[in-house]
Amino acid sequence: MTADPDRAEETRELTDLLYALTHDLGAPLRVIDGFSEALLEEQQDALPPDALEYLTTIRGAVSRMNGMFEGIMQLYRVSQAPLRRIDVDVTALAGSILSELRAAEPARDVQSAVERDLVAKADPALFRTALAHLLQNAWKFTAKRNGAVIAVGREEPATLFVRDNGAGFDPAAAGRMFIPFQRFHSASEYEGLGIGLAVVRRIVQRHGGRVRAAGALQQGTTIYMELP
Amino acid sequence: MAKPLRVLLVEDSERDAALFKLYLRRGGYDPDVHRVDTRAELAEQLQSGPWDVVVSDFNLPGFDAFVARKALLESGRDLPFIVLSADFSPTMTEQLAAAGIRYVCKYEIRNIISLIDDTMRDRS
Repeated sequence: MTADPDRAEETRELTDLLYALTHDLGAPLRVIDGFSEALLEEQQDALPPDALEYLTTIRGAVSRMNGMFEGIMQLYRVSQAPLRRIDVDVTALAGSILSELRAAEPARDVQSAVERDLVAKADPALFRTALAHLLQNAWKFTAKRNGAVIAVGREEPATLFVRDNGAGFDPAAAGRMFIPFQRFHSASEYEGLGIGLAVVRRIVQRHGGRVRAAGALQQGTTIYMELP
Repeated sequence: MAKPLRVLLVEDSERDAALFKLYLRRGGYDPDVHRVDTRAELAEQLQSGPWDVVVSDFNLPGFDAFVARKALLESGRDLPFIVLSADFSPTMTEQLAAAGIRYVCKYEIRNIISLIDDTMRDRS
């Protein structure tokens, strides 16, 4: 990520701290999760309506926190996983991820345009994770759009992009899009935790590359991955 | 009808042991879980206990899941061995995979039920 040894050391310490915090905060969370779920499912007939409502609120919060934990774990895993770069057939991979998205939501009418012969020299598992996040985002943020189009292509020899014509974003916020848990749409509008792009950035950084976003509100989003 | 299941649990957290029992019960088992957290107790229980499966945390006071599995192999007992750990570092998961040890992350503890279901089905 950086050639500065002090910065590298600092990053490692922060990663270790993140790991320790996740590990230690996770233990009580798992207990709250397991026993509140058991309470709700096994005792709900015995609980007065108020208590049931409180408990349901707790379950909602726990479920959100579990999602955040999964996000942090995923960030940690992609940071630590071994990197083995080979030629990845991006065209085929994008096609397969898009088919999965279509299969999960067959009612959605989404056009896709995937350039032919796209290849990336990347770790296949990590690259799949990154591309899946980008396509899932494109899929999600075109949900309210008639004539949704998702495109995957190449701009310069080593820069791949995923483009959609969905909800877009405020360009002033472009710098914050890749920070974990930053969200730009209300949860009622588009669900999500705001971890996907952080994972994508981490994966691209591990390949020595960079990510950037282009777009505007209601004008769609393009995410570029430069993989040297 | 809950299926009886006798588990030797190598775990130093009582809280996690209670949680494990809860998920077993909710997963359709009538669990008899005996918790140990020292190598001596583990060796002793492996000598005589009537176990169906051994489930072990990864990091334990003074030893780890590899040591626990070695104790199981040395006991000569033919019992399935599953690691249930909150550790999720790729280093650990790779080491376990390389040794052919099945692993469930405590954050995904619900998955242990299907793994135990499969394990017990394969053996019966």
